[in-house]
Amino acid sequence: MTLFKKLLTLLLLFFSLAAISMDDPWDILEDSAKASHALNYEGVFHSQSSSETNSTHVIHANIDNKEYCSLKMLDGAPNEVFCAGDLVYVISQDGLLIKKRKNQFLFPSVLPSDINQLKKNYQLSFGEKKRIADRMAQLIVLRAKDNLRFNYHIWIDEKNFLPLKLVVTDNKNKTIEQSTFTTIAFNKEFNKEFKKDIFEKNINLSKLYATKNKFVENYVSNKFWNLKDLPAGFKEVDLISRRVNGLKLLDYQLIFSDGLAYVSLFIRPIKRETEPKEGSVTIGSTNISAKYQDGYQIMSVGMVPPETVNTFSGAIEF
Amino acid sequence: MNEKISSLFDSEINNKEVDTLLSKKNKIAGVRSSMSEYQIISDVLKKNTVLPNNNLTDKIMSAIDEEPTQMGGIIKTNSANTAVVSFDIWPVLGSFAVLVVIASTAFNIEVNNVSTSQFLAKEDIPKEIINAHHAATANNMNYFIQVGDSAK
Repeated sequence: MTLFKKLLTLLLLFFSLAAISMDDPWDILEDSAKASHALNYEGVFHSQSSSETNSTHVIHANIDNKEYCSLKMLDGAPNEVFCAGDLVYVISQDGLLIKKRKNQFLFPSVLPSDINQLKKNYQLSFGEKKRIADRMAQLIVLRAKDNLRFNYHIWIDEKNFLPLKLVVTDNKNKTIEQSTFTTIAFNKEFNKEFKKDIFEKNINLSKLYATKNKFVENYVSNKFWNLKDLPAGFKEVDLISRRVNGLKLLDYQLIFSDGLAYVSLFIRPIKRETEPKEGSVTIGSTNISAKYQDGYQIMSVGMVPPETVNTFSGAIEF
Repeated sequence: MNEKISSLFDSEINNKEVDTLLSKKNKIAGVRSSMSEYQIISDVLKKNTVLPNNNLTDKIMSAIDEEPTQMGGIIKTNSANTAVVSFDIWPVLGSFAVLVVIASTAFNIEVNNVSTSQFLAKEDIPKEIINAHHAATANNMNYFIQVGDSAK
C-alpha cells in the first residue's frame, strides 16, 4: 500500500469517527426521550420555581407498552396523581378530577418524541458529568440559537439515559426553574399486581367517567383570525375553545411549541364593563403579554423571554 | 312552519306544540334562525326587551343559550382559485344591517369596542388564563396538580 493510500484511509477513518462523535449528543437525547417512557423506576424529585419548592414521590411503570405513573405530593396538601396511558387522575381533598394528557411533558419525560424538531432551534453540547441521586449523570446543554427561548440543561443517567435533573436558564444564565431527583431506584419489578395495588384501590380503570366541565369545547369550526410573523421555530400544536362565563361567546386558546417551550395565545371577547389591557408582566417564571384588538383581548403566556410573548400577542390579525 | 313559530311568540300555542317545535329546531334547516327573527319582531312590537313571563319563550331562549356561538370576521384568502360572484350591493347591505340588529339583540353581545386600553398590571391577569396555560402545557407536576385543584 502506498503512503498516499495509507494517509487517505487514516483520513477517512478520522472523519467517520468525528461524524459519530458529533452525532452522539443528539443520539443520547433520543435514547433519553425513549427511556423516560420505557423504564420502571421509583424515587423522589424536588422541583423549584421562582415562587415555590416542592417534593414529589414518583412511581413509573411500563406494563405491556402502556405507561402508568403514581405521583404523591410530599409538601403541602397530600394530593395524588395517577396516569394510565393518556388519562390523568388527580385526587385531592375535593375529589377526583380526570384529564386527558396532550401537551404535558411531565418531569422526567420532558423531551419530545421527535428530537429532530429541536435541531433547528437549539445548539447541543456536552457538559460535565456529576453525581445526582447517587448515580453518575452526563450533562447535555440545549442552548437556544436565538433570544426567543430559554436554555435547557439536562443531566442524563449514564447507564439507562433517564433524565435525572433539569435546569432551565435565561439568556443571562439565571435559573428560571429546576427539577432534580434526590433518590431513585430502578430495580423494582412492576407487573399487573402493581397496577392492582396502586391504581385499583383508588380508581376504577374500567369505569367510564363523564366530564362535568361544560365550558370546554373541543371543536373550532371557524378560525376567524390569521397569524403573521410568528416567532421562528414555534408551531401550533393545539387549539382549545371555551364558553365565556357571562357571555354567549367562545374564547380560544392556541398552543404553540418548539418541542421544549410552550406558549398559549388567548383570544378572548371583552365584556362591556371591562377595560382592555396592554403591556407585559412577569409572574414567577412565566411571562405574559397583552394586546387589544377589535373587541378582543389578546394574551400570550409562556415560560419564554418577554420578546417571544410580545411577538405572539402581535401576531393575530382579524 | 313560520306561522307556528309566529304563534309561539304570540303565546298562542300550547305546551305540546312548543315541544314539537323545539324538537324540530335542530332537525329542520332554518327553523332556529326563524325563531330568532320572530323573537326580535315580537320584542320590538311589544317595545319590551324583557321576555314575557309565560315560560314558553324562556324555554326557547334557554335552548338557544345551550348552543355555543362562534363570532368571526371574514377569512382572508389569496387563493387564485377563489370564485368571484358579482352582486347588487344594496340588498347585501340591507341584509347585513338586519343581521347586525338581530345578532346584537338576540345574542345580547356585550363585547367592549372601546379604542383606549389600560396598562397591564399583575393583578389584571385572570387566574383562569394562567391555570388554562399550565393545565394544557405543564411540564412540572406541581403546576399540574395545583391547576387540577383550581379547575374544579
